[in-house]
Amino acid sequence: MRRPDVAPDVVVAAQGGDEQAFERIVEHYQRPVFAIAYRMTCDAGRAEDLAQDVFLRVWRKLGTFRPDQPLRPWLLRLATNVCINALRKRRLPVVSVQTDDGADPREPQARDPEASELASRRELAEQLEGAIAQLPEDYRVIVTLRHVEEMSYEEIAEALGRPVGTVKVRLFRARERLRRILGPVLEDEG
Amino acid sequence: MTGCEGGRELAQAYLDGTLSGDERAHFEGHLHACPSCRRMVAEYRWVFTGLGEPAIPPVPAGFRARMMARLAQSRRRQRVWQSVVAAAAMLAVGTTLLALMGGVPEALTARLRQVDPMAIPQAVWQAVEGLAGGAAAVSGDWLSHVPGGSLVIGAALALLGAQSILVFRWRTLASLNGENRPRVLE
Repeated sequence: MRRPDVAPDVVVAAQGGDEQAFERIVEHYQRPVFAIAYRMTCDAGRAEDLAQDVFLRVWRKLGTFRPDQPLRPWLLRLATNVCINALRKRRLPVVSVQTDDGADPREPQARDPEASELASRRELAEQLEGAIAQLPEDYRVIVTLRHVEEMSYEEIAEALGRPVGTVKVRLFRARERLRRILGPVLEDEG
Repeated sequence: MTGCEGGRELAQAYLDGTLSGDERAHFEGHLHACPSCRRMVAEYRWVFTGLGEPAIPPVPAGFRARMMARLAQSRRRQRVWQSVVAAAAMLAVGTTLLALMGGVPEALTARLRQVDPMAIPQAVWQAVEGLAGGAAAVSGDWLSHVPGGSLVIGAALALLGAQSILVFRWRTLASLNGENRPRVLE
């Protein structure tokens, strides 16, 4: 659930080098930053490393932030850039979309009633996770900001520095792509 | 399953909660009559659930403490680097000035000839030793955190050695009498 922005005096104190104030900022925003990092890596350990990288960058760049502005969009934009750059530089591995039997769930599956019965909700969730991992990076960030942080289109656009229309289109395409992957599986289940 | 024309946009907006009251009522009426769109909304509902907050694992316990420890380590490194850079800058300025002056000026060497090195107060040597001890402690701490720190510390020790030789040489020159002084001090 989304929390209100941190108080400006905390930001000012952190800008002055107050580590306790910065710790409050970390505590306040660790959830959305970790969520973005997790969506990028699909691994809690790597997501923590990445989230720490984000907060170190926030500490170094905090002097350039204007305290009269809301911190959340600025911080999440920084988080997005750090995560995407890390993903591109380090070529962080993401989980495979393929299921245990090697089938790609994006392809229409044969209607095997026995196989359909084996498809549990857990498997469905895992398939969805795998499908999310295959989305382009900025799509993953957008769906995370929308569905985890519950940000509006306008807020996401501001945080990412993209037009609202672009955000809407990418969010629509991401959801549609995931639905197309899950559709056949759900049909088999149903 | 693609539903009716425009159904995908409406289904997403419906689950997003961005439809107006009239639009919502109209679409719900359509859903009652259209199994295809009903199915599509059910599929989207799965997607929305999978993308939501519960699908993300909790932030690992102790994350904040580890983060702050890493920040403290980073700040310590930064301070050491700043000290090294400041010392290097001072060294560069000093050597540049000496080079511009063409060596030790005559006025200084004349004064040095009058100084008895043995008369330098003990407190000065103690202060130098104290500074060297502090530098060694900081270097040791730095060595444990900075990759390649051993190289820099080795270079610093070499500089210190060279400086000691120069000081020894300087003291020797300063204690020489007039006939044996090298020409550079004339």
